[in-house]
Amino acid sequence: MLRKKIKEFNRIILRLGLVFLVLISFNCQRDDICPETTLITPLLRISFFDIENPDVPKPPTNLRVKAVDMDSILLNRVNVSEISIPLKTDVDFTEYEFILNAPAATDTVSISNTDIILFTYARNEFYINRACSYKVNFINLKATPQTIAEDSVRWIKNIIVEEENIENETNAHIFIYH
Amino acid sequence: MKQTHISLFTISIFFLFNFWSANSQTNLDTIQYKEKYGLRIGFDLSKPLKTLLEDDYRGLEIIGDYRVYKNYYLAAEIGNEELAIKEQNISSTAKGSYIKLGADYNAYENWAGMENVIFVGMRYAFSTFSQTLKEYTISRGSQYFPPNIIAGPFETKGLTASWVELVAGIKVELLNNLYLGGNVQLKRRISQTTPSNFDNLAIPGFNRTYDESLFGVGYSYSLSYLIPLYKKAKD
Repeated sequence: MLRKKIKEFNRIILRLGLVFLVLISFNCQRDDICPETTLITPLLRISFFDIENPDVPKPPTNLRVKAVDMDSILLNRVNVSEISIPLKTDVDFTEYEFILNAPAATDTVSISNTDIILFTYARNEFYINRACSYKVNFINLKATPQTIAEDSVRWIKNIIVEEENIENETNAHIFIYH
Repeated sequence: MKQTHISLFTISIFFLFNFWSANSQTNLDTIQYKEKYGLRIGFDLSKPLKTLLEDDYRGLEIIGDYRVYKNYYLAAEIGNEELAIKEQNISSTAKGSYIKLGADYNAYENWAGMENVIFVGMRYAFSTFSQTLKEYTISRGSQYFPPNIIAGPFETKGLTASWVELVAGIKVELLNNLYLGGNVQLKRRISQTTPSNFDNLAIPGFNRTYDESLFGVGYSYSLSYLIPLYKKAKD
């Protein structure tokens, strides 16, 4: 009699426990780490092309990239035909120096050429999830070359905004011809 | 050697069960016990304790059940909570009230004269609350510029959520009519309204939510008192 009851009781508890375990395990995916595959605030992708041969990619020689109001250098003496740079997410503009033929630390002979481009845009914030928080997409991007007094020769000949809304990093957003 | 041990074990088990069955039989045959029916009310012990121990938590819950028929109880909880969520890049609070209505089934066959409860139950729960985004950091692919942290608070009022709960727990009679209980809850959300361009990271009564999942979990410890209204013989 009692043996039967105990058995029955054990069965109920066991079943309950199993159901709970299975259901709770569904909740145990980690959601406190932002996966790298998530689309967060995109970088601005810039491609460099030959001005004489507009279809041919042309890496600028020893290019240094640095935000005007930052002390640290973003990219130093790179020789690539495509770069990705961040835009500021707290204001509607970012100003970058693009330095061609940037000298090495020990080099005092080479002459570099600095061009400044002002990027202006509007910002939209989007909630992603609890781990990734928010991202910013940029819309109506404009790129304006700034005049520099000391060197009158611009190495950047033309700038074309290919995608004025920056929502991902699938394609280059800006083409620079030089 | 091994065999003697096994036989000793079997014999002792045999005696034990014999003793038990003999005991229960006499009880069943001789006296008709009456069981109490009434309203049991109490409160959740864990919420006031958490209020004292944790800086960013505040909560209170009143619980009640009413024995309707044999092992079936109508059950309800009503509460108010303030839940804080702190993630690496985002922090928020949810503040509001909730009510849970449903029934419990006592799956425990008590020994004569005892009235403990081991129950399973279902609830329908409804919550009205506000969600406040306190601070967040924009996620960016480059750390070149200093972190862009935006401080609120940005509060959204008038949010609602509803869910169903599967409850399992125990209630033990400590003193006459005074019960100590504990239960675990599995919740599945049915509906919710969220702030625009944000989410409910926590819901009062539901606890924290999970991205990409409608489920939630909870627990509670309770102290309750049975107000006996009438007695009825156990059959």
